[in-house]
Amino acid sequence: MGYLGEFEQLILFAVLQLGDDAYGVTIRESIEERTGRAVSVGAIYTALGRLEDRGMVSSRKESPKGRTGRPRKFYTLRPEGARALRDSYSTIQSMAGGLIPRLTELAEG
Amino acid sequence: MHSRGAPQPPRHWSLLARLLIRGEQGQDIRNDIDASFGRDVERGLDLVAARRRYARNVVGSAWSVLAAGLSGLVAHGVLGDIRIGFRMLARQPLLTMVAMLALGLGIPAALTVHHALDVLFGPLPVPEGERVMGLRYWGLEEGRARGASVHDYALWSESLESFQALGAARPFAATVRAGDGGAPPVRAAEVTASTFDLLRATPLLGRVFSESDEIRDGPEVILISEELWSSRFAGDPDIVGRDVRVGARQHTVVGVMPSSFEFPDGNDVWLPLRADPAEYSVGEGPGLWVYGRLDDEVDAEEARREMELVTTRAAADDPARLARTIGEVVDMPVLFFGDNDIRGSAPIVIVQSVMLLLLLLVCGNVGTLLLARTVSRSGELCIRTALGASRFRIVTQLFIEALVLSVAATGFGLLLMQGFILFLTRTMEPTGLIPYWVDPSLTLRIAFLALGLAVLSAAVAGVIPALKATGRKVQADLQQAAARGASLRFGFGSTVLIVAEVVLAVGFLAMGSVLVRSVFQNTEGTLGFDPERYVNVWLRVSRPEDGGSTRAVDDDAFDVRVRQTQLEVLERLRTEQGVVGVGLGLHHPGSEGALRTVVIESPSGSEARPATRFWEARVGVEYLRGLHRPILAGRYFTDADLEATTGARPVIVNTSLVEEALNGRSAVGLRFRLAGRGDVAAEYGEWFEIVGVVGPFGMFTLNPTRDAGYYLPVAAGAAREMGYLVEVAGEPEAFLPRFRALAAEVDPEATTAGFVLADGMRRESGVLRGLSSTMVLIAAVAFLLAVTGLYALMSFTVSQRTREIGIRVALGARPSDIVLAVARRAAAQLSLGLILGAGLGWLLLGMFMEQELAVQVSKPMTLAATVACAALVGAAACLKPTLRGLRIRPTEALGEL
Repeated sequence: MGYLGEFEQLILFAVLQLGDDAYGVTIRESIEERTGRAVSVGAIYTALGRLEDRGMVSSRKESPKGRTGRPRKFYTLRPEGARALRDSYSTIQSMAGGLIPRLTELAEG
Repeated sequence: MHSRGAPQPPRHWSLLARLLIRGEQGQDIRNDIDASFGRDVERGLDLVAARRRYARNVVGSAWSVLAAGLSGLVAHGVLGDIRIGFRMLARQPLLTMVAMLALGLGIPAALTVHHALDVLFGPLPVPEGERVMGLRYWGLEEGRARGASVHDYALWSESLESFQALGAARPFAATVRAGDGGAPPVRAAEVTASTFDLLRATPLLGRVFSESDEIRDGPEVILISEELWSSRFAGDPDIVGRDVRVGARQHTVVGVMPSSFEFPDGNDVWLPLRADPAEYSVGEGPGLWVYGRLDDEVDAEEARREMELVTTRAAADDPARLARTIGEVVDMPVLFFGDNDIRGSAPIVIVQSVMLLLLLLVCGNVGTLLLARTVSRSGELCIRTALGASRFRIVTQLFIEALVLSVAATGFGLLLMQGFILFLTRTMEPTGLIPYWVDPSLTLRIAFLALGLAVLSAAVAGVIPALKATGRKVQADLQQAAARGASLRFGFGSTVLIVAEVVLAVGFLAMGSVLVRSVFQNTEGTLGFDPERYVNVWLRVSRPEDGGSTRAVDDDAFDVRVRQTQLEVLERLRTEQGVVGVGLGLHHPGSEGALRTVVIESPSGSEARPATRFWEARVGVEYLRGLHRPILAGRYFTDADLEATTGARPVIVNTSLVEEALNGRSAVGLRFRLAGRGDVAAEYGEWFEIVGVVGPFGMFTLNPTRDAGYYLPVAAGAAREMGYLVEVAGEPEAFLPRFRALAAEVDPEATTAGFVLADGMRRESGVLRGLSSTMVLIAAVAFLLAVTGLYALMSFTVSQRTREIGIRVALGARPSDIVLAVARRAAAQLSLGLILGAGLGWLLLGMFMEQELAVQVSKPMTLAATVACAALVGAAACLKPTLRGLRIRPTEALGEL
């Protein structure tokens, strides 16, 4: 199983969620909308480059659906990526099991 | 794309994005950054906020791309490049060897002066040694340091507040005895009790001095070193409380100092300094070394200012002594060396700059070789470029290859440097010339500096050729057709480098050959005696103050004692068993006298011949007779010669002088005199008259071919320290302790030193041999660099002009035309280098042969042989590429098109 950093997990979830429309701009928007974190396109691309080298995503170049303009690089989650994401998430879930109420309590003082 | 009128991203940020966000994904990222901006505007985001988001996106993306690029370079590129670098080292062993030798000598050479200054002027090896400073007066008129007096020490102790404590020391030689009469002298020092505390020194056994030990007429106490304790007293556990004799006085051992404590001068015994200012008038008394530990809150600069202030005030009270005097706070080594601080002085800066320039020259030449290697790999570079490698990537690769070479060479060079240091230390150690605090081994600082120079060398030798080899035009040419040859040329720079290397190589090789002959020649046949049979021993009669008393002594009485002691020892030596011959003098073989410039009177009268330099040895009246040196003409000295106050002083000359200056004719009765500075008649010294002639007897043992000289008689007692040359029948080494015992019987306070003559000569020539071998090695490397440079140039020329040569052959060119076409430039460079090199060699040989050390050779012959040898090797380097040029077939050459 490949290790996934937090940012990589966010990107893979975004790619999963966006389906056929996953490219730099939409992934960035998706992460920003759901997490409230500002991320740069460059950071997304370099992380996607690493994930592609590790065989977790694949890319293809085509024009965005329903839009004109330059062809973009679209990304799809590959089975290896899906497995790694599932395992990483499960690990966090099993560690967090039953602890969320206490965590919230502690965080809110 | 945005339609006309739609908001645009900020222009300067957009430009910045184009500049910074590059690489494989650069275009995709920039497109998406622009698209993000458009979508921000589309979804109604305020234009200012959208632009701010755009700017943040650009900066964040640029950073991510840069970080990814760097980590990718480290993870894949650099390691791969290092691997290639090592492969290249193995694949081209000749180039590797030459470049390694060149950089391996060049880099340490550039650091030698730096390292020497570092270790010589390093802090004392005590806790926080850098806070222990020396104090001294610097006389502006005499331009040198003055020894501090007892009064100065008292004044500084009272007035200076920048120091926690001050201490003072006075080193001297002493003979320590505890039953064994034949002990060699040890280095002793009188020190204040404060010394131990301020140097944070604790004893191994017993105690250190306390202030009560400094009271005059108090109990005589002594501290001894661990080394002396184990060698002289067999590590006696009850040493504390035992009595030992220093000179004529008994002292009680109160403690043993650990071997790490050798302050101030590599000492073995310490006595308390008992110098009371009340006993001397101001400025009188023994000269002291004064030092102190800076107070915690004070830095050296503040201490210097305070010292200046105190000196100015003292000068107001005592203008006669201190008017033109500066009070200085200096690093301890500066105090010991007693001179100006040479760090940062003009000669040192010049030497360092010259060394760096030489390194630059070496780098340039290694660069030429690397350029040739790079060009020979044009096909590979072409493919890499075609596969998408950027120029930056290729230059990085070539830089790393050069770096592998230069780092490997640096490692080799540092090993060489360490070996050289070990050799020098071993050779110099017995001479006692290396101060005890000097640890010459390589420091981490030097290793880092060397690494820095390696990177710099790789930048000069690797990046410049790489940039040249990957220039746009060259790339275009390479990509068009390899067969047409690159447009890259060996430019003017490489011509200058090759010529410069040939010049240096010829010059240094010519001088190196004479130097090697001078220092490695077999001297046994011409010395005139067998140095293995002689010992050179010295006797120093000490004043009472050397034994721990600083009271003044009657000079006349002391002079009589010196004379009597020396004569008594001479008498005893004459009758000592196993002594074949003995002579008393100030100069002996192995302890040469001074070189004098003299003018010999011509037989016809006052007309003076050109001045010549001869050795002058001052010896006792019975010296030559006592050592059984047969007189070949004239007579030996007599006691009457010492008393001659009018007329010429009698001298005995050696046969070398007769042959050199008088062409072998009769010398007895001839006169000569010292030529003063500039050989001006008015500055001529007194007359000498030749009364006898003897055979060669080691006037200058380093080079017996230049030992023309004369003996001048001196009386016993002429100096406190005089030497005896003793010819012994048995083992010479065994005579040394016998001499010490004999001297101790005559005068227990006298100190002795001595060595077997052959050992002393070997030591002296060892240093010279090491230095000259290094020089010859450097010359050989310069020559090798020049030869490989020529080879690279020729090889390159042939590859580049293959097609042209093919056409020439097809058109009927003769082999001689081809040779001319191929070798013309290399031959021109070689010839120019040889001519200029011969000129340099002429100058260097001229300067070197004036030195007494040099054997005399014929300059034209030596230079002709060197030039012929260099020309032959240079031509051999050109041979292989030339033959390759001659073998080019038109069909092959043109078929490549």
